[in-house]
Amino acid sequence: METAANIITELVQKHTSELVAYASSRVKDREEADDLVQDTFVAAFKGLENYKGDSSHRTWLFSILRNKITDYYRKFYRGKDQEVSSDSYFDKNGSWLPDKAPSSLGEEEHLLDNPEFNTTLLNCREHLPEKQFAVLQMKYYDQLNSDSICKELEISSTYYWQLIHRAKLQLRDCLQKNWLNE
Amino acid sequence: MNMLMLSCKKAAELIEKKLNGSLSKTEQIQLTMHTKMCKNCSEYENQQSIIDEMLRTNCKTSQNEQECEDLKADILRKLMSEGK
Repeated sequence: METAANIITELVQKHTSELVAYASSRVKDREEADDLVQDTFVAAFKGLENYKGDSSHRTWLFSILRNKITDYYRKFYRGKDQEVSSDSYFDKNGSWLPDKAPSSLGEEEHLLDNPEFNTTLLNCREHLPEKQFAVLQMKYYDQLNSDSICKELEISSTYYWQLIHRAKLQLRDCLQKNWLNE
Repeated sequence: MNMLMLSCKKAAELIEKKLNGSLSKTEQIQLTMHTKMCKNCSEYENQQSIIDEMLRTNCKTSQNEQECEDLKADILRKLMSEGK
């Protein structure tokens, strides 16, 4: 008969890689992502005897991980529902500041297929503040709609759109600075 | 007439809204008038739709296999020391 230790060992071997991939799509800090996966297995090990087997082990592990990520982010966002300003991009009349004004990135129709441009974008994404990174990933990577994201993070829709807008402003600015100077 | 004049700051917000398909008719007209006259904002609109497309199709960074093996070992060590 299989012992709990054998089962959990097999689950760790089999699913760690995809759980980490998922966690690090949501959580920017890699060590934090690893910790969340570790906590997931700790919880799974404890809950193994109550596991009914009505979902696959994989689905079960992912649902534990998703809850851990939600808890992590709620803690992170709680009480921080403040204004996100885009003032560092515009002057008091709402015109682009000279060093922030969008200019051409070159032959834009080819940028989509350009792997180097892609790498530059990913690097720029790594530089986003954690909260902006999280909403961006939920919107584009998980393709969740804004209602579910706001509900999951317990933030207002106004705040959500400010975070997205701010993230996009920063991404574009970072691309302009790093792409043309490479 | 004044309602047709948008600032770049407001135009950038509307561009984000447009990419989400939630622009009203009036906003649509305001934005089009603005981007026709404003090179920076029309550039901004092009680039943001490229960024949108790329964010949608791009998955998360590469995973290092060795790191993953190390993590598995760490997790198992922790589980076995906590377990009975």
